[in-house]
Amino acid sequence: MSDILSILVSTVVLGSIYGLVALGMTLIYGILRVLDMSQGSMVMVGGFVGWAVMTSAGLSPWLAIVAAFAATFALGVLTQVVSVQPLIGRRGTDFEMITFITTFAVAMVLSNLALQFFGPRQKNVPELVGGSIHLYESVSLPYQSIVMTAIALALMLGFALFLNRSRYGIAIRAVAQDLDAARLMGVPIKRVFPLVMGFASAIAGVAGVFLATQYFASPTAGDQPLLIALIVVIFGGLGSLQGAIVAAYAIGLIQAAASVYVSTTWALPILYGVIVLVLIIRPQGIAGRSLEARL
Amino acid sequence: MPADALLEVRGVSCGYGETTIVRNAELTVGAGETLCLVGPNGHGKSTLLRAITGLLPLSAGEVRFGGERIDGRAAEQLTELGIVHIPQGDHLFPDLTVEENLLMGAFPKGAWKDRGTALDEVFARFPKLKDRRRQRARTLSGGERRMVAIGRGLMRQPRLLVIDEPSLGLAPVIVESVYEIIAGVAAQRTTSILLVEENFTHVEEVADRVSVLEMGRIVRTGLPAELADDAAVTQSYLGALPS
Ligand SMILES: Nc1ncnc2c1ncn2[C@@H]1O[C@H](COP(=O)(O)OP(=O)(O)OP(=O)(O)O)[C@@H](O)[C@H]1O
Ligand SMILES: [Mg+2]
Repeated sequence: MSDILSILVSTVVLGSIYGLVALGMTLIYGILRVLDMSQGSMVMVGGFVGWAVMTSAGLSPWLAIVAAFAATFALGVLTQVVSVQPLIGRRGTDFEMITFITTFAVAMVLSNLALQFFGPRQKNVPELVGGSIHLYESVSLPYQSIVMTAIALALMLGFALFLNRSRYGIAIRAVAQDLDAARLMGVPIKRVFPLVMGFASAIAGVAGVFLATQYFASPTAGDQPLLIALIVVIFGGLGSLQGAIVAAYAIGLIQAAASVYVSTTWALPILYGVIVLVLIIRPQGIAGRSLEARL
Repeated sequence: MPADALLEVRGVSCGYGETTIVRNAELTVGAGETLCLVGPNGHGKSTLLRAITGLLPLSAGEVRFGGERIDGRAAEQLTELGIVHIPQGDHLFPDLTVEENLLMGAFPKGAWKDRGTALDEVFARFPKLKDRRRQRARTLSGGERRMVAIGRGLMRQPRLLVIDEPSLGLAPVIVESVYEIIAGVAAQRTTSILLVEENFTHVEEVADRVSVLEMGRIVRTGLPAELADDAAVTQSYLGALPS
């Protein structure tokens, strides 16, 4: 009973954080056909912003979340303008491959800049809120987890509403499905693309604050989340939003269950093993259709 | 030739990459006029339309709309001038619902605030779409798709309606109803229409004038009646074998 409870608690927390990072990657892939390797850096930058606001300046964690959102939004827009926009519509190049490399280069630049400015030492970031609720035997639920999960769910829900209801949201999905038709409707694609990457990066930035409070802020803090996000996105069926979110929680569950029932050191090998297995059986991912537009 | 030209295409050449498809094309559409563009398959009709509405850059020539140069402007900017292009093959957004597809037709700011009324008007024209409003476009029949494509184009008040082969792949009954709608818009004389059509019966139904595009060039322009009797046109248009 207490095993199951603690697995549930970690599944929800891990899944929500993975879901945030994967949501951004999925949006970017679904709309721009870019596997954005700079998303891990946004997590890293979000962590440092959290550290700067909370630890260095001693300000409120809420401000840290807002600041991380704003900073990574701007950085995401900049990354798009510098490393993706110039390649759109170039003939005779493999857009997906080239942007994979250019965004990876941006990620390298950002983590080296972080190393220069902040040094290699891991930096502690305080919890957003202290305290916890006692659930059962040795299992307790920190308020911090509740807050993070609530914010993550609110962001995901907010995005779903934005994409389904608003003028720009529908337009963003339209762009992913038929670029020429979207242009004929008057959708300003030159503005939509940076906007998408800005929002996606901003969500990753918020996830970065969350992760930093769980672990640390450091120049390499984005590496593991990037890998997980890539896996979630592929696992979910490249470009499918619902698939990515389901996959994020599924991966959280596998990781949590493996940690509890086997051991923490075996959690990741088991996770990756399961992923290889699932992808061999369903190469298009759990919600993937085929290679068309999938949002 | 109409004195008050809304759309003027002067010496336009365009193509894809190194390949030039359309050469030195000339055509004019007057205010409220319907011009039909006819010609054999693959000779560049759609390509010319794509260049006019800003999807494709010109390699030479100029396009004027209401006297103003519009070549070089992107398609997404031209929508603001009231240019609507209903492309060949519909180009619906497959995973958006019927209603969302239609709403995208009202994306420009001015049209968005009137989207409710526009939607009602489209549903009045195509009652079938109202029943299917929550259905994804990819699951529609060919006829329903065409209705969505045309409805989406009518979601804002077009000054110039560019329609590329609206009868393509449809059963005769549905083609009739499509042409009823086009004829209705044409008869109002408030919207200019540039139409590509294969079937000369329909061309005669709606066209004020006809231009023939052959091997990427506009080889003739005239009244439908003149061109119907023109043996050269009939031959190229119907793709008859050379004698
Ligand atoms: N995206 C493209 N890239 C390269 N060539 C193209 C492209 N689109 C069309 N073409 C070529 O341009 C030529 C003209 O095509 P276009 O679609 O304009 O013909 P069309 O007159 O509209 O024919 P149809 O009556 O069959 O629609 C064709 O030879 C076609 O193969
Ligand atoms: Mg064509």
